[in-house]
Amino acid sequence: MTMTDALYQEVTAITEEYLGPAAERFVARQITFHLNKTPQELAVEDIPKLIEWTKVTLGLLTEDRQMIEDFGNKMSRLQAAHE
Amino acid sequence: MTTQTAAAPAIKTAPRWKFGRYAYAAVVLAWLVYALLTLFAPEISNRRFQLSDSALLLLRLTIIVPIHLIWLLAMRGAVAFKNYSALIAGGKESKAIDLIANGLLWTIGYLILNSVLSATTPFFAGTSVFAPLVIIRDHLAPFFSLIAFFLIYRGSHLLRDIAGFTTWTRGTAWIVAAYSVFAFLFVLQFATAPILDGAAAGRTATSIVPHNILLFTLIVPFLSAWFMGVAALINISKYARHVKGVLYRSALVNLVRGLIVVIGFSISLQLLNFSAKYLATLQIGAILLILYALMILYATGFFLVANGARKLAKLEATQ
Repeated sequence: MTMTDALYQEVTAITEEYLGPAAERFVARQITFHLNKTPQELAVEDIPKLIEWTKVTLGLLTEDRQMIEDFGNKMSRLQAAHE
Repeated sequence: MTTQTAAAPAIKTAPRWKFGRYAYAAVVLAWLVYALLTLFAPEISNRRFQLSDSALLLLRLTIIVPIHLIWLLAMRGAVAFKNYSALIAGGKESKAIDLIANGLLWTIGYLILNSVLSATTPFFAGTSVFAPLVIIRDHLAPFFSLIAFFLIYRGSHLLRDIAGFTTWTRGTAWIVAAYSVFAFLFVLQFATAPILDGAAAGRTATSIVPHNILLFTLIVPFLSAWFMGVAALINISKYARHVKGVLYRSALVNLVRGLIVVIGFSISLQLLNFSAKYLATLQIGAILLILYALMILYATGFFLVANGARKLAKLEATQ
């Protein structure tokens, strides 16, 4: 597994806490449509933009602002861990 | 200086089950056949109730109209679930979901085919094909049930691997023990029940085929199918509790409730049909009450399935 694969898997693992089995497809869609990359091309510097888009999309699925903020915080900690 | 406008997240066009429209067409066609068979049923079907012609027509209409609505609602739920299955094709839970969706279609198939065949048999009363037709009609239930509940159980078993739960817990052991007692009593009741007069019982296979044969062609398949149905219910309930994803679990609630109701109804309906000798002594009002209650339960189950499938599909459609 390459580093970018590992990053994609870590992002998916965080998202799984919210979307379960749908997480992998959700993250792949976010990366493909908003970053114009394949999931395997995900880089650490993409994380802020990914957080921004994912929070907006999660806002369509839930009104729980705290949950969305928690997700953003976990993703930010993931980015910090890779820098 | 140009300003880049970010595109808002969109709801993408979702792939759908390619046979959906044919499924609806099949329901409408089956209902037309069923309606005609019921409206023009020979007088032999009225011997039990002794109703006037107008009362009989009204009775038949009160059955035909709701039945069509029930079948359409059920098929709508199943198609919605199949559409969701198509939407998540390739995903880790997609095979499990597709198996369960196919099992639901088989339960609807049984319901429709059983109704149409039941409406057909009076036309052959007194002919040489009547008995074989009754036997085929009565064996459809275990045949369809075995396939339907096997598919649903197989799908629920795959869900176990996704959510990481175990089916065989102490609670499951108690349920199996209770089912074993039920199965024993069911076989005992069947083995010791008197052979019914065909006219009184509304002519079923139990009054045509020897009981020792029916034990293997009806009882064993039914008990096997119902056991798989119960095991599937256990797996689906555990999946709803153990699967990751707070938003996913929230979207899953109605789907799981609907599946539990549909599977539970299917088992209850088959059990009720098999206990027809008790219904034979009930008044028509009681029979209709039970029938409509089961129909409403069945339709409610599929309504919940459709609602749940739509909520889950929303998780897949946002981008």
